Amino acid sequence: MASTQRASSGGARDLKAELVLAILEACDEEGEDLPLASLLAAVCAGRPEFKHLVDKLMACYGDLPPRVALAQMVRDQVWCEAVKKAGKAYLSGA
Amino acid sequence: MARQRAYPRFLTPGFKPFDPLWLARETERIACSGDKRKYTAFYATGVYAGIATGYVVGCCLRCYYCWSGFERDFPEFFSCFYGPGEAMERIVAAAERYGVDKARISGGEPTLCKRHLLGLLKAFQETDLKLFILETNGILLGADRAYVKAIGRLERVHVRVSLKAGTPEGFTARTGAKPEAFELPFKAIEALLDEGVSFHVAAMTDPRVMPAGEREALLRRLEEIEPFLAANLEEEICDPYEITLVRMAAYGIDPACFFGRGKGPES
Repeated sequence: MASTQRASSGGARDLKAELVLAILEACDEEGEDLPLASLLAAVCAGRPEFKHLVDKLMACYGDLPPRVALAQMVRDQVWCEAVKKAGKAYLSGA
Repeated sequence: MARQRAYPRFLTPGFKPFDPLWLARETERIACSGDKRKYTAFYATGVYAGIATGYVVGCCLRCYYCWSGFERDFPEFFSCFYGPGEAMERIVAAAERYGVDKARISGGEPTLCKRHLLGLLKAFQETDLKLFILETNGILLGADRAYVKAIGRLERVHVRVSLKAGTPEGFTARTGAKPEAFELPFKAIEALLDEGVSFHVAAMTDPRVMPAGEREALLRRLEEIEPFLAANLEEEICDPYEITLVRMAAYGIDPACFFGRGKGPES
């Protein structure tokens, strides 16, 4: 998958960055009228490797609009690095 | 004696660009009184998956594609003033009625009437609502660092800065404001970043409104400030609301042509 390769190029897979990249890509399609939880459900269908990360995101940010959630995640130490990495990968493929 | 400039309404062909900070002051003289501000309604809408909204009067830009009601251009005709506590009570009541936990003010530029907005956000701190989304064009925040600092001290407030253009020329053509003011929303973005405020950027990048090259310039500018802002950019599309059609027609744009509507089966 192109998006996976973009976020994990040059080493071991970074699941967090892959998940954030998938969220950024889904945001293009879905806009702000769905909560992040709905987007996560769609993004992670058939991707069991994301489950533990999705559960964490759901608990903290699930009911927020996706771009608001992403803006808050970039200020969250747990997610900051992954969000910035995914952002760069997203822009490189834009 | 210098003639006083007329209050700008709809953009028309050959308009004279205005200073949006001047228009903000003029609008505040009409739409604000002390810490009170004019509102037209309080209810919840489906955007952001449900949000209680207070609809305010008045703006400091005149975007030709804007979908806010006539209260943007004719604030004198709308006359219900609400204090910050009173307005927040109505927003909370709307949230309870519709079963939502987010709040905002919309329909005009929320950062006009600084005393009102800061009072409203302070009143919000006392509520059980989860999030206040402060939608802004960034003009006044870009001109007033103390305003950004004050917002940054509040809990559960997220700012959404809506950019109108990627070049000064595009900014003037779309908003009616003088090209020098193009920088203000970017100053707001830098200040929000420096102050650690939760925010994201939106932009009217609809290709019918913004040429592809200008969109690229906007993305590059955001990327220079902080790459993630460009990645998380919310791109807006222009919709054919009735008031939008009126504003386009006043500006000399044929809305039917703009929105690709034919004249009928025989055409």
